[in-house]
Amino acid sequence: MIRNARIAFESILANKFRAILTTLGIIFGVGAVISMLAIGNGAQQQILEQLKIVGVNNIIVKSIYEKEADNSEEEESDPSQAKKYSPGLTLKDLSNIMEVVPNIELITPEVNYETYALSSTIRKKTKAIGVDPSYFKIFNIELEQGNHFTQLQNNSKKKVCLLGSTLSKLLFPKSNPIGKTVRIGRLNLQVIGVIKKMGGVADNLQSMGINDYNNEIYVPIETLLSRFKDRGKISIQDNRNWSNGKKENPNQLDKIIVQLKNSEDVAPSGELMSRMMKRRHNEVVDFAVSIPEQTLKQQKETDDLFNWLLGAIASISLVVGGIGIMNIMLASVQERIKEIGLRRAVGAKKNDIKMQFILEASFISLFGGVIGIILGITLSYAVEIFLEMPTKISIFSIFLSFVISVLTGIVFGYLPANNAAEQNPVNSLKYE
Amino acid sequence: MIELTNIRKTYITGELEYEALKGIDLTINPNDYLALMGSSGSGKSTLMNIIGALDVPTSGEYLLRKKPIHELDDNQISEFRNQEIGFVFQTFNLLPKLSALENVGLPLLYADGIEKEERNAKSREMLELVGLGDKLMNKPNEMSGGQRQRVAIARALVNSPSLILADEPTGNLDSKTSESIMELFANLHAKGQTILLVTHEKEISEFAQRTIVLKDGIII
Ligand SMILES: Nc1ncnc2c1ncn2[C@@H]1O[C@H](COP(=O)(O)OP(=O)(O)O)[C@@H](O)[C@H]1O
Ligand SMILES: [Mg+2]
Repeated sequence: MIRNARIAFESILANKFRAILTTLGIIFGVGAVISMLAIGNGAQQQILEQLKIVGVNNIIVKSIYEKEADNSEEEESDPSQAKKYSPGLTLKDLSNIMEVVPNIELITPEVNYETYALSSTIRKKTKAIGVDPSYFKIFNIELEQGNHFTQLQNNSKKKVCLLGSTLSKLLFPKSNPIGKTVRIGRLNLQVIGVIKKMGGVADNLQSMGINDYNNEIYVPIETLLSRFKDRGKISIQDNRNWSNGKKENPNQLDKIIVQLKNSEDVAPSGELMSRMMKRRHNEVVDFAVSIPEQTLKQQKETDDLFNWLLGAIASISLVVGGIGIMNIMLASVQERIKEIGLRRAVGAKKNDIKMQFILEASFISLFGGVIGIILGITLSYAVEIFLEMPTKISIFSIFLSFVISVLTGIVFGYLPANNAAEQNPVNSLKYE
Repeated sequence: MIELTNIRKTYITGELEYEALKGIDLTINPNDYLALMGSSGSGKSTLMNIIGALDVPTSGEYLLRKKPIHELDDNQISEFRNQEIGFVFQTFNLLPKLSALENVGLPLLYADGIEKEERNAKSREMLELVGLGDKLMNKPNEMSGGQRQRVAIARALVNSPSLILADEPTGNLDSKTSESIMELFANLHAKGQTILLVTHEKEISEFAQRTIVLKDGIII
């Protein structure tokens, strides 16, 4: 055994070029499979995580308005098309939804203002977000420290707030923010809690109505509406007066977020809400109803297809790699049949020949397999860092590609050598 | 030392049977230098391969020092080749990727209890004996035909075999080189080596002590 290991090792050294070729075949086969499956897995994993963030059974109604005054010519030339009056998205819409839509588990309005937050010494641009306490239940938002605000605090318009984790560190770099005061506009708010740091919320989620919890400040909506600026109190007249400049947002609310008890109800309730709101807004579609979960699931289906494709490419590269390994091994044993005959003539037993070849093939294949794993992992990280695509390396892909290519190498290195060892040495010696 | 009795060998290719040896009786004594002559196809290589235990006879008896070789199993036959026989082939049969030293040491790799130092020392000694003490590290393609055959002879000698079997050892060499190879065999014989030389050339056979002639599978 030790003797044959030494013979095998010397033989590999004597045939470096062939060994390198085989190793390369295995390295690329294993590396490609691991990295491709990691890319596919990563995309899948990301969507699953996003599904957790958007929550299940949620419907989001968003108000739509144009920031710039619409003083284009067509409005003047065609007065029949002049905007019909819409009250915008209001708390009345919310109570209406509660009356009409069945099986609501939780519901919350949301307003948000671009503003600045001030601690005693630091000023940061942020978004002040006004919500009901149920908002945090809908999205499973947990706190790093302190407490959520209660319905009671909301109803009595208490001047309290929760800070996003990143924002809290920016405003209070050295001290504990709990109990401290943060100022937005003319409103002084007491910090009662800090939201747990979340993995970055991707852009596609923000477009679905999910907030960036790390950088925002959360205030009871009643407090924000009554003490900050309630856009609902702006009259139609006000709006007309501003017709040449920046138009104020006429909507009292930016969003209404509904969580239903049952997932079967989500799609029909979404449609019901659309119809009802359209009627209430005088047929003006100044809102959008979306079901983030559904959007993500559609995205997931596309991704699944992409994964299948990646998997197919990976399998093909494994098969092609395997055929390559097989070819080199077969060819190298073919050209070595005479060597086998000669070794037999000078006294090698059948078993010596078999051991030599199985050890050679195993050593080359295992070495290639290990380097291939390292390459696959490195490639996956490179894709994550340089292409900013999420990747997730699966043990299964490592196992599968390693076993398949290493086995191919060993089997096809060994089988022909095994045959040659069983042959009459005279025939092997005559082999050209 | 070696006694062959009524050795027959029949080759079967598909439906065809061909009897290459038709009852060979032959005795080889220690320190014999025997030439086996005969035209091409007369069965010389077949007989030599049977004596070297590379092939088995279809029937007949093969004794080495009274030991029946035809009854050994494959592992024992491998050991027999390793210990008792040294082959020299017409086409040298050196391993192209190995140096002269490694090629010569090959039989010792398969002999028990020989470490690398001993193997290299013996191989070097043999290469010096055949006059290639300065070519230890050369690969076969860095040597002439005559030098390659000397490496092959050193390899045949390295494990001190009872019998050297040389099948047309000068068949691929020019006459001058052939002569120097034949001188080498003569020297080895003078030192006590038993040699069986296969050739179809009369001049080459004249280097031997005794000549037997094979014709259509029988000794005449
Ligand atoms: N493996 C084989 N299968 C079939 N016929 C063979 C085989 N080896 C040799 N022969 C035949 O046996 C005869 C003797 O061959 P061989 O011993 O090689 O002759 P020589 O060495 O004297 O030229 C030839 O006719 C040859 O064709
Ligand atoms: Mg012949």
